Formats: sequence, C-alpha cells, structure tokens
Amino acid sequence: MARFSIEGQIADPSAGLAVLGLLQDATSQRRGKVYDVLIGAEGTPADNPYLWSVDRGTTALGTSTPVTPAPLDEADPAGLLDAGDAFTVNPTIGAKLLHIPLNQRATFRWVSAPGSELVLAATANLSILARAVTSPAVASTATMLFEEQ
Amino acid sequence: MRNPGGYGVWTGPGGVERECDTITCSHCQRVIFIKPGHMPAADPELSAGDPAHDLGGLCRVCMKHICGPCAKEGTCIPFEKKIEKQESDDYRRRQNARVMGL
Repeated sequence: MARFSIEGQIADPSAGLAVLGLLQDATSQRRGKVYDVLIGAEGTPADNPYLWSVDRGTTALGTSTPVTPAPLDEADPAGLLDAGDAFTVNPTIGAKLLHIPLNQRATFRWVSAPGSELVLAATANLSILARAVTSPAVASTATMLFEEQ
Repeated sequence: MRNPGGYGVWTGPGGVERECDTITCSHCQRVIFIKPGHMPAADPELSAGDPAHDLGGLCRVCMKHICGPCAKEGTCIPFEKKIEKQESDDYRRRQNARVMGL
C-alpha cells in the first residue's frame, strides 16, 4: 500500500482552526491510515502554552488550501485522498483522538505501531485534522504520514 | 509496556526529550499516553473512573486495549466494525442516489 506525507502551516492557529487535514472527498474510496504525526511552532521562540488536538472531522470538509500528498516511494502513483492546510473554516469536529499539551519551544511526534493507526473510513466528507485548541498567534506547522488502503 | 500501540516523543529546547508509550483504543481510536510503570487493568470495572487505572482496560471480547470511557460502557464494538458499517451505509446511500438519478 502506498504511503504519503502531507505537511501544512497556518499563520495564526489561535482561533482553533485546523493546521492540517487529511480529507476524504465525495469520490475517494480508499481508507487512510495516519501512522505518524509531527507538530510544532515555527515562530520566534517564546514560552507559550499550546494544546494540540488530532480530531475527526465529520459531515463537511471545511475550507482550506489544497495540499498534494507526496508519495514516500516515488514509484507509487498519486494518492486518492485529499489534504489541506491553513483552514479558514473547520470541518465539523467529531471525536477527539489525541490531545497534546506542548510548550511553543517544543515539538511533538507520535508514531503508531502497526495496527494502531488512526483510520479514516472510505466514506465521503470525513477527515482527520491536526489543530491547536489553545495556542498563541504564532505560525505553526504539522506533518502527517499516512497509508492509503 | 509490552506491545504498545505507539510512541510519543516530546523534544524541548536543547534537545531534551520526554518519551512515552501510547495505546490506541480498539473501540474508539482515542490515543492514551501510558504513564511509566502502569498497565491497563484486565477488568474494565476496575479501570473505569479509577485514577489509579486511568489507562482504560483490556477488552476480553476482542482482546485489545481500550480507553476508560469505552471500558465503562461494557460492550465490545471494535472500531473496525464501526467503519465497516459506516462504509456500507455510505455505499448504499450512493447506490440509491444513482438508481434514483440524483
């Protein structure tokens, strides 16, 4: 199964808008399995608290800048799942999967063991989002690695 | 812990790292950080709401780790089953729309 990387930034995550999202549009018919999440801030270092969250989006994809998933193996074909960053309208937020309290100076990485990935069902208009629930107005970045199945 | 469901790494200024294992709830996919030295309770009744067993429990039906709220529910509906139903409902809805010309 093909593996992909998506990476996104947002200039001001303080409104709770998603930094990065893996999106299942109306035509995608493959599952996505997120197995690696990296998050951090890229602004001037300062001691500010973040509460990051990886959430499920339901029923609508919101509004974002499209991101093209990059295959980790260049021999793989382009992916069917979509991605977006710098959301201006969040999808409807559903279940909260991962909560990470973090200082602005720190970065966080979560890697799943095989079989414990965050699964995005092959159903229209679903998403998995990385967003800061609480944050300063500092440019922030997130990366997700996922597998299409 | 043996057979964790994942691994979290916090890297602070100066390269200081904090690391811990995680488990992914088999019923809802919530990721739980494991405090070093703690193990999920084998009995969901012991784990639900007890801070000493805040890691959730072990579902003895699907034999997978689950989170506290799912342990408290006392039923076994694996996440795989939930998304299979979600996908079949979505497929049926799209097929109906196609048949009706929508």
